[in-house]
Amino acid sequence: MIHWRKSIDGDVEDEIAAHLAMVRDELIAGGMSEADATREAQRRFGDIHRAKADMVALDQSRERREWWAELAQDVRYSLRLMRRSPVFTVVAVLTLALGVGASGAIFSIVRQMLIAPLEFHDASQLVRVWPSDPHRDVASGPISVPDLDDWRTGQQAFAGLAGFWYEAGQISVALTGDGPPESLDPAYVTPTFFQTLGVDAKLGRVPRVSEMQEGGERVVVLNDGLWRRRFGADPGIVGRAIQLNGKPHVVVGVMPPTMRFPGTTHAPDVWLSALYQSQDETPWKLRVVRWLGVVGRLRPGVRLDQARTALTVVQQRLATEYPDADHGWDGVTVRPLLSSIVGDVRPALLVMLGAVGFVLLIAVINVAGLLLARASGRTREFAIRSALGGERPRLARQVLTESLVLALFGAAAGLLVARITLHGFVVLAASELPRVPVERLDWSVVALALTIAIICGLLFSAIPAIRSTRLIGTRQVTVGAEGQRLRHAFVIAQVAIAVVLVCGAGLMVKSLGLLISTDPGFRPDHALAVRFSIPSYRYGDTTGPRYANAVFDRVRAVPGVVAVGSTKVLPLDGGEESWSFDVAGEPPPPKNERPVVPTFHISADYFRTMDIPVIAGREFTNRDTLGAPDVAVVNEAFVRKYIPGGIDAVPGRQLRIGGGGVTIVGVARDTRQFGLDAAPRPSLYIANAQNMRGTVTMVVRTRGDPAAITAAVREAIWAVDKDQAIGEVTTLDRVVERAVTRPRLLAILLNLFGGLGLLLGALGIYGVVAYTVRQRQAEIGIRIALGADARRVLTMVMARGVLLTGIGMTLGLAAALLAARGMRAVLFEVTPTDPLTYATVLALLAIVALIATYIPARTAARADPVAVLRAE
Amino acid sequence: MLRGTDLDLVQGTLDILVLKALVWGPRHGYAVARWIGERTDEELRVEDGALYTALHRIEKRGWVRGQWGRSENNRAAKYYALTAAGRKQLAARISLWRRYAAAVSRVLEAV
Repeated sequence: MIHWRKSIDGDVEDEIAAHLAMVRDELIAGGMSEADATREAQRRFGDIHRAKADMVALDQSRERREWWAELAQDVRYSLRLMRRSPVFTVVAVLTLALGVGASGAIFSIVRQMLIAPLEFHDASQLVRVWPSDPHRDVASGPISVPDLDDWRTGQQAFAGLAGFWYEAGQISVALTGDGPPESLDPAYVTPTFFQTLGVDAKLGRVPRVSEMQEGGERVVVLNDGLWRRRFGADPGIVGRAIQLNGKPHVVVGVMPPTMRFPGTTHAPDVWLSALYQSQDETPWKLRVVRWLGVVGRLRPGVRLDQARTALTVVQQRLATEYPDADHGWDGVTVRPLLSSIVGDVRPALLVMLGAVGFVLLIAVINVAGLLLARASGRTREFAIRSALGGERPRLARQVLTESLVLALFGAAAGLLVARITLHGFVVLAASELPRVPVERLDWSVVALALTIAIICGLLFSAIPAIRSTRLIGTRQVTVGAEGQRLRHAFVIAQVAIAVVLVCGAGLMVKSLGLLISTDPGFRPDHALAVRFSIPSYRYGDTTGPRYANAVFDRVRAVPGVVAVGSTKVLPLDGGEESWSFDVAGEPPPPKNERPVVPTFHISADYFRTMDIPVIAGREFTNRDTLGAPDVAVVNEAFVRKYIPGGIDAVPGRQLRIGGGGVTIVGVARDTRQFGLDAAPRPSLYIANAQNMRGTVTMVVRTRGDPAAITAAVREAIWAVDKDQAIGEVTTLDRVVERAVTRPRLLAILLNLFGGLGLLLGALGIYGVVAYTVRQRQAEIGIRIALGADARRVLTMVMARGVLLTGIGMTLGLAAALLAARGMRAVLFEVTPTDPLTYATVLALLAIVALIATYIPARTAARADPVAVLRAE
Repeated sequence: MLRGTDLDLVQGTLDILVLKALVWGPRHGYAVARWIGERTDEELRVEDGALYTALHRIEKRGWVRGQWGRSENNRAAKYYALTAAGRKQLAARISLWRRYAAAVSRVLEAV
């Protein structure tokens, strides 16, 4: 094809030259002088240039047409061939489809999550920024409103810096009116938030900076889900006021479903101005109150390190100027927004990508093996066709077309498999993905599938093409040793890859098992968790706890309820408040280097309800109220770290928190508050009645099925206050379950891939042994006829399969040890070299390989020698 | 002498002459030109360029197939052979030409 023009050109030129020479020769023979003859020949020819151009054009269009005709012929032939051996075709296409489909789906997800730009204007300019306190080992802390203002005005590197406060499930606003009261997930954002992000509303508009100030008419932006669920996707919602925490807020816009920020796996229900944050809930304007996260937009051309340097200068000035609030906070951490959003799913996605890569590889090798076997069977066909005048390039092209057609079928079926896989994956994983997944296969996946198909086609055709042309070239008719070697190499590779895949799955299963069997430190069964918010606009510091107690009492009276308690943040649920303290009686730490610990506001009876043992002292009671001495409970980790003398030294100890002293009245057993895979941290429990927090998760310990009394609990709450908005109601079992969703998902997928690898590997071994048996049928028949023991025959035939499996497993083990290093980030308490897992996997594979070897070998050993020899 | 530069004359007629020239076996272009010249007693002179263009045109249509070979005096030359389709085409054109010529003659000879 490439030499087309050149060869046609030369051809035509040669033809004309030959003609002119013949004419001239004849004229000279007739007595003309050579010069006259040359001239006369040219004259008779007419316009040589035009004739040549016409001929070349005609030849080109002819060759083009012939090329397509031959292609059509080759394709027809390939299709006929595929129809003629349906089992081969189905196995090959299905194998390719599984490989292409699995990798296509996962590739699509990985691309959408890790690579595709965020759905914001010029998203590559967006970064997350945090102040850091290297002295207390805080790499990314929150910031206060005044500090953020100084950041914004103190440098030139950022086109915008905006703050937000969002803790999924931990803060809420009550939506009343328009139906039953509902507890919403809000994101509080500073006025320039939407402009900094560069995001537009899908309906209405984003609020203007002036609308987000204090004192004016309040505005709100809704998320797409809330707008559909609660307002029936009414486009007329824009401009209407809705009641949030008892105050009217005008809806200015509805966000598109892709806008989740600052949420990741879920979007906030509403975006509100951080400046509406009422004084009584948080002293939000103080420099010492750090509560905002920061998103920034770099000016064009500014690099990450330049931005960090610019902000560090500002932050270090603040640390000197405001030692009370900023001492020690003299660093800044900057990270691209995309990586901060997808960072924690990245390792799992990459592990999956690696796994499907291996699945694809094993599938391709499998099909190559199949084609190799078939090519050996087609030696006769090629020899005949070559004898009948088939040109070698033409035969090679035929083989290439066959392979490409097969590979394209595989790719097409693979796209279908990819679609289904993608759908399944999204259904399974939707709640765990940090960005909204698109269930459509984009062009890049189609391109990927096509590329794989073409590469496979080339690879596959190279094998039989090389073999067949070599055979034809040397007129060799016996099966070459190189085919045998290639086939063995394929089996070894298949076994090795299967080992890698199954080891990966095995490690993940073991890790998941350990994670699930981890004692969370509380009893998750028979308990209901009910989230609600005690609205500060209706209840104050004294009336709030009284109201909460009234609710608890009412719920306690529900039949089947054993105990009731509450906490601001459930274990495994994320979120915490950080309090600084020092231990009275110990030398005070340097100013502003007081330790900070996660602090939880709980009710009386919380530990009893959760079944968290209090190992010393007591838990809070209804007598620990405002006005009574301030009390605290600490966990074991706290005692280990901060109380010299340990648990015996606890009674009577006081902590200095804020201005006053707080007495430690009890020590609770450690819980897995921060995740099943996270070690317990020193923590502080504070009586909610003494330090009111509106956010409450009420835990209800039940005798029977907790879900069965959900309605009764709701009614009990509404019996106290019919306007109480109730948030999520779930069981503690569900909360624990949620904590292992991601590793479970990964384990399921790796097991699927591992199973696929095992199946394909077993098919590979089976194929080779069966083929060898077929090849050696005569020999085996003779051996049996000569009285060889069936067991000897069996051993002889199996020996090769066992040898290949052994080599494959050895190589696979080495590869698995290397590949498993990449899994470190997703494994819990399992080292990537866990010997037991590897031993189990190798044993499993050995058994599968033995079965795959035994079946064809047994057929051989049982063969009737007479029948076998007669068939030859 | 009729000159074959007039394309109206050549288009249909030249193809049929070329096909006819190949009935007895493959010939190269020069041989085709000579054959036509001899048969028409040089009455119908076709420019060689036009002849070659015609050869390539009918090769494109699949009526002849060209292949390089050796000429009588051992010169490399491209030989054209009639294909089955070419043979059929020739037969069809000959009958068409005869009817056409007869019709034209009848008109011209009418009183």
